[in-house]
Amino acid sequence: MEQEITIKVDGAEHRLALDTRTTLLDALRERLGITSPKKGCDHGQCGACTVLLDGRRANSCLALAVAHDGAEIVTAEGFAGDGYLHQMQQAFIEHDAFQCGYCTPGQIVSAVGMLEVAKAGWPSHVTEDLDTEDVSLDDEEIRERMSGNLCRCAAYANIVPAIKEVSGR
Amino acid sequence: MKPYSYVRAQDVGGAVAALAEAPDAAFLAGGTNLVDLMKLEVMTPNVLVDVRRLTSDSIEELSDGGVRIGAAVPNSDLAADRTIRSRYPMLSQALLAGASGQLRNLATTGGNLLQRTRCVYFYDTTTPCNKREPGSGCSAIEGHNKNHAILGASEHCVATHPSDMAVAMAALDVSAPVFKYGGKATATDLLHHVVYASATGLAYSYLDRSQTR
Repeated sequence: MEQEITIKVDGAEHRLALDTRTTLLDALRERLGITSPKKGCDHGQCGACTVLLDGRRANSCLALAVAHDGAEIVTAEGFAGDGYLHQMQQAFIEHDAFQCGYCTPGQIVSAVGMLEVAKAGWPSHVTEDLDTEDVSLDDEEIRERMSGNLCRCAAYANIVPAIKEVSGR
Repeated sequence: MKPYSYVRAQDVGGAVAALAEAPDAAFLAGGTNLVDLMKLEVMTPNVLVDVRRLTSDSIEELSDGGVRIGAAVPNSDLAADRTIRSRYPMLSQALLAGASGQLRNLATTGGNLLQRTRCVYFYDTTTPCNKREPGSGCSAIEGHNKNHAILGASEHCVATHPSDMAVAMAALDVSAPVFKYGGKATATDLLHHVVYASATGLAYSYLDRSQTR
């Protein structure tokens, strides 16, 4: 059963006729050739498929494409431009915050989305004062807020400092 | 995943009618639980009725000092809401204790209440499970049930409801959601059903008849 949708990905608009079962992840990877969102678990547990969906980080493997007609999506590819990288991408390189790299695009998108809401004062499970206006991102906060992104190479020891550096800017 | 057709309900009447026409239909909101279950073919609706944009996604302060939470409010927004954080910190904490930032952004308040149990036999389509296949039996009673109900279980089901949020809401004595349909207001004690059914199993199915299959 096919249905047509329009989505904007990394600034470009695409019109697609899709099987209703297609997830956003499969639409991006298989139909549009945008392969930075990765298929890890395909069940919303590993975070490798993380994209910004209408400005917020989300697991694209659990989002049905037909349910997000008109959505604006940003992937890790969309952060970089001709000859420059996003500061989060740069920080991951400088801190050697990956080994195999499979989870990295998801980690980077997730980190960018996470910093946005931390700046807005959103608490996490480890925030002591729920009423706080000002969230300070120590290692514990970063680990908790990034808990939706797994790294099988266990590059966490370098991922945390990379994100911390960008959060301090 | 089994094939299905997708419709976006335009209003509450349309959503109810769509379900009446297709008994194997299911309501879709954030999809974080349903889509996962469909991939595993634990749930196999033939029609998905998208209700995410139908219900309120706002949190309103009421004149009586209470708060009304729309069914489409994402879990992340509910946890971060200033009023909820200062007045009902237990609710924020319960939400933040579950899932991940990505999932909480997609998941809705209504969907959180209506999510299905994480009982391994519910997920294992090769074993009997009354929740998945009413009348087939309960594998958990004599099986791996360390994380199952101690109080309020029945001979039909010993699964627990997976929602941390629902537990906090029950503790906070959240009142009945009111559905206005066809000019008549019907109050359903949804939370009562959720909490009661999480212990006793079968009554839970009545919350959403599409989920009995």
